[in-house]
Amino acid sequence: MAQSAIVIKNVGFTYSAIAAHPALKDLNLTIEAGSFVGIVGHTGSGKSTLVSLIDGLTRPTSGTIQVGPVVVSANSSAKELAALRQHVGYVFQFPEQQLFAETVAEDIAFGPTNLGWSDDQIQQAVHDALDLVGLPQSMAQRSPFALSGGQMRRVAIAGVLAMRPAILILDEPTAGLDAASTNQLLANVAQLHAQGTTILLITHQMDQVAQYADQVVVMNQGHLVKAAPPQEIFADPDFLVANHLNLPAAVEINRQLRQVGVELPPTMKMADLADRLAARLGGQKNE
Amino acid sequence: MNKVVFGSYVPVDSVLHRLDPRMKLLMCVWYVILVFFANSLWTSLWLLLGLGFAMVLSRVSFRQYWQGIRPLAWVIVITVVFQILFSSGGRVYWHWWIMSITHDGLVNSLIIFYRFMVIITASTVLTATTPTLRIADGLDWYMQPLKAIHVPVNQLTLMLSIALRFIPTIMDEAGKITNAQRSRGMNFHQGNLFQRVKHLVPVLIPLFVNSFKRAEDLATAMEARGYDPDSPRTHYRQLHWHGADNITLGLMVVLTVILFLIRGGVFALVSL
Amino acid sequence: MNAVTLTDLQYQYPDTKKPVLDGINLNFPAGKWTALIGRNGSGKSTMARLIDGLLIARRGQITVNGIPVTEDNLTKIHQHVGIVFQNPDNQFVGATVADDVAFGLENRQVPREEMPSRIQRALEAVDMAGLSESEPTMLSGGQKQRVAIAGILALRPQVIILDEATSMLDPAGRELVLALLERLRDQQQFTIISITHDPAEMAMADRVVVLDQGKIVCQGTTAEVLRDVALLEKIGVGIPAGQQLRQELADRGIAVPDRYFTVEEMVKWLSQQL
Repeated sequence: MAQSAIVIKNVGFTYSAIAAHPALKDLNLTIEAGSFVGIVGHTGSGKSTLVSLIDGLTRPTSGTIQVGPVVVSANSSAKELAALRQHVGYVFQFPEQQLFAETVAEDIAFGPTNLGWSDDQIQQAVHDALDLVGLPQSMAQRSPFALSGGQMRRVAIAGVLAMRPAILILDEPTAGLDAASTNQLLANVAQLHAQGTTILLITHQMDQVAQYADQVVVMNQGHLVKAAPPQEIFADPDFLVANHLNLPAAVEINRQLRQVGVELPPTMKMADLADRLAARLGGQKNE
Repeated sequence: MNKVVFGSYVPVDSVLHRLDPRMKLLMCVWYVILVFFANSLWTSLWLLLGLGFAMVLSRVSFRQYWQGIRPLAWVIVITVVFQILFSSGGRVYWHWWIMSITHDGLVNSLIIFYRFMVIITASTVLTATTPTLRIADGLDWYMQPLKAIHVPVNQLTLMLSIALRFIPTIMDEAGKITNAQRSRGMNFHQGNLFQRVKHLVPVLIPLFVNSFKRAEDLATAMEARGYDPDSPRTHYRQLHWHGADNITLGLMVVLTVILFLIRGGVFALVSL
Repeated sequence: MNAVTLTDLQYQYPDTKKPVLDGINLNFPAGKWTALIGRNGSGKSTMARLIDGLLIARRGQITVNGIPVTEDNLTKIHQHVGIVFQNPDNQFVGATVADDVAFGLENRQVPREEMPSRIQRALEAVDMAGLSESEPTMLSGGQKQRVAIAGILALRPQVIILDEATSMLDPAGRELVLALLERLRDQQQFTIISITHDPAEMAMADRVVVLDQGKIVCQGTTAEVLRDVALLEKIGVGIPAGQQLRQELADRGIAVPDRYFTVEEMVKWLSQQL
């Protein structure tokens, strides 16, 4: 699985000829297949533009984007862009606002039908997608509009998963969900990742990044500022502050401890921090 | 992003921007009526001059106006071509099946082209210099007499202003939903007309559902802020008629008088 | 003194089998910030709408500053209570920021001459005075929510309810809104009721009320309620960072005092131990 899923070379993007600032500037990024990438940055930093280029929803103004075997550039045809979309699934922010069909099953089948799959394949895809998001099969014949907000969101995500994308983009998938639904959804995503799907997660929740990502892409004002493993990104609180990012809770506590003279190695997850602290506390008790 | 679309407001500061929206509404309607009184080259040029003057005063560049009008260019071109090919009279220059190019056809199409262009440009001058909400305020004022026959004018104009306020929001949402469905493999440019219409369903249904939800939220929020359709309300936005509005009114009279003088052949020398 | 009291309150939506709120007895003390927490669908938003008279309960009683919430008192109740809703776009009525703040004043038939100064003061209170002529499409979600709060402040209410008002905002927007609420409580003694899933927002409140399936399962000071991590986990609401670490340490056999820890308190305690 060491091959690259996405290769972005010298990509620039400008919304229109008269827009004052380009939305993306000279961006280079390689994402390995099977990785879990957190894409972070303040609102308007270019995160959404970057992923809509990866999903072929729009053409780059300059540079090339390679996803699997497909390469697109400024003069690619609509067909080539559509080919890109076959490899990529994109769960938009508040995806439940895009449900339209009379039944849950019909809505989930929309993507596979567009791809021209056979009826059997489609049925199987709907069945599997419901399982993946943890919804009971009995829900298939209900109207999506009669479900709760959290269930609607999972139906919408199932609609993307049914297309069996090799790369899954999620834009703030947990916005507005309560803690229990958030944890369940992230567990589902982690499971997909474990099965080999490349995950691109856009989020403001640094704790989610610290918990799940193996690579972090930091965007600021249309520039890719840094792409590195989370250990490296979160080891530098000043860098995060400079890019308008919050610290994961464990990093924040670690930083505050340092200020009062307690030196600990960098930690990203609360559990790791607790391990380190427990070792020190326990160790002192024994002395 | 900052694309000028037909009917959108261009926020710069100019004499025209500062005029009372009632004056600008009146001016626009008045001008459109005048266009139908232009019957010769010179009367047409005179009205064009008046429009050009207003465009210069508005400090909106001609390029921006053109960008606003361009989307309608096709409609104009098609209308003009039809007019050329299917009207008859006068000398025949070319003839094939039921189509012909005649002298009268050419003249008529020229007149239609002219009227189309100046009327669209004049209304673009109005919308470029007046925020839609101020136009609604102006309409509200002109509609006040209808209250006498129990037309709920205030509710109607509030409805209109809220509808206008939500147009960009809903356009934005339509774009997002379209992208989400494209991302799920929908191809808008494929298939015959029927299939293409069918493609609209996955966009329009969520758009409707969300708009109903929006309307419900909005109604609740308005009620929470004390809105009661049956109670009287005061008005924050006031319309102010200034000296410049009187001058504009005067200029419109001058424009009209001179137009009819040219029409009547008073400037016989000029109208040679 | 209590700004809002709920007595034996029950509410059931038409065409449903079970009441969404049942047997609720609850007081919201004046000048305090109370966080209302619980899973989606636990009845929090219904409670907010009942307090403002947007829904009327057939069983039980609600009073706001001693005034019973009934059909006849709605105008008065809307004057005492302001609500900020979840979606910033769906409550922005005006064409510009100033127009939106004016909307409530127009409804209350405030004379035109008074409006500019009241709008100006309300916008200054939320740091939006510089954008009074901006249109909603030019504003961020956080800015729109601050305008919504200004619209409420201009009407001089006593109780402000936030119905997941920060849930659609980015962290920067959320922080500004929360800092503003803190200021309003501390400097102007507003009674604040905030419905939230955000552990940081819960931690800023004076009191926390936990709702589950239409019933109050726990209420008290923030320290009392957030101390019970097991309950929070069971109900499925978020746990503030300080408490998460306390729990993780306790799980590792460390003898951490059984009380509520903010991040700062946790850091202080740890630095004393190490």
